[in-house]
Amino acid sequence: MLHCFEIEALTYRAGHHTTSDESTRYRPIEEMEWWKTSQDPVARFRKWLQREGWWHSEAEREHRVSARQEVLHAIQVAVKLEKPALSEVFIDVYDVQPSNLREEEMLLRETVRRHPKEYPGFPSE
Amino acid sequence: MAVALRRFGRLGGSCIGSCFRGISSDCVKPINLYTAINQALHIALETDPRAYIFGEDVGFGGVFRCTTGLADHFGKHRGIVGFAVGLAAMGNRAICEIQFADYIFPAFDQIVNEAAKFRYRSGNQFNCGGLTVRAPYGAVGHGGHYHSQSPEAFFCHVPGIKVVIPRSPQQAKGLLLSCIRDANPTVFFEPKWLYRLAVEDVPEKDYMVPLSEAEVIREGNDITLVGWGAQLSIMEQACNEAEKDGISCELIDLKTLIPWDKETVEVSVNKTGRLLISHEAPVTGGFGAEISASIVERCFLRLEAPVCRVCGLDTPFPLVFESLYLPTKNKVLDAIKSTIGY
Repeated sequence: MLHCFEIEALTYRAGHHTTSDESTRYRPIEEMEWWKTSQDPVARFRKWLQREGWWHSEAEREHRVSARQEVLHAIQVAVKLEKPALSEVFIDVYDVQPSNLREEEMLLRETVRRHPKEYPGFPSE
Repeated sequence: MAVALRRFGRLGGSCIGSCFRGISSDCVKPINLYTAINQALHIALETDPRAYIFGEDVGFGGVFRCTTGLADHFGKHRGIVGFAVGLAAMGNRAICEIQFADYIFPAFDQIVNEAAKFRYRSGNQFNCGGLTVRAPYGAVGHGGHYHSQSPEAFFCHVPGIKVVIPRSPQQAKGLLLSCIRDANPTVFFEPKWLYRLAVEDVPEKDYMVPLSEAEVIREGNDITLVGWGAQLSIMEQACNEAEKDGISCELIDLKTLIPWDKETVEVSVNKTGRLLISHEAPVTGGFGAEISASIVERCFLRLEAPVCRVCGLDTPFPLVFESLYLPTKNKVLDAIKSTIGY
């Protein structure tokens, strides 16, 4: 027998929209603080785990440190990766590449061959 | 970046004489593109009690700060294109902002089927000429699929509206005021790349730059280049390099894409015999195709080489591949040389 569940989730953007946004210009800071402090589901879940005895502050501290290290490491790995091959520009526009894109790829390869310094980081193939 | 700023100083300086019709020594201040647009909007609201500005986030200044201070000064307002059409139809000046041109498409129906046809379908009994839709467009270095698009070609295919694109702060202020005051609905695309980057002397007073008049911003004899918006700066760099090889380039800023100034381009191509058009938007079906077709019709026997288009690729605007996608200075320069050498 199939049981169906519906989850309706209300969300609230507690932070700014972007780094160039200052959202206190269009909403009260008290509103943002209230959501951040008393409504944050992650914080509430942590407190519940702590009350159950399955989590504690030391574990929290250790986890934050190791998670941060993992992310920083992943960034270092990613930064050293080569950019994707030039051919990737022209695939997945359609399922099958049409002739105009084949032509444009040839023209682009010629441009990159002639001006390699203008396109650093892209594999020369 | 310093080079880009100087370049814009030069571009601005070359057209001040032609634009100001004899008033040469007014108060000017060096300002950037979003400040010039902000000034134009301020003037529009000041000089017309029936002018309204609206769009997402314009109340607090907008994500590019083009509408900073206006709500404090003039009071608040909300709503976008359909609302703007109605407001304009009642004789008001509705100046609405779409936060990024990439997001203008939900409003396309209102622009094409309502705004553009209002006068025609009513036999001139009604019109929504007071409508101006502003939107930031174009590459910004990291915008990816949805913060980099140049959708001007879609709008150039719509009789009944005007499409205008400024190249610099001084041009933007004058062209925007012309769009706002024009008796036809207009779409005004602002090159977001230049919002902060481009700085030039802009007169503080109320002035207008005429629509449907292209401008020769650099004279030359060997080849005509036509472009608009931020791409002109790239083309200017290519022209400077070509000059070192003895190629004399004439560069034209189209400014208004529809209705466009064919005569200025025709006169230039009749002089040079060669035409190169460059735009960020994808080459297929881009507005360069219309310019090419029209000029070939008018100048066929004069042309020394096929009309050349140096444009974006026929793919969605990419993120990591942006530098490969765009019509860079080198692509333009290579095309100038191969056109000359045809």
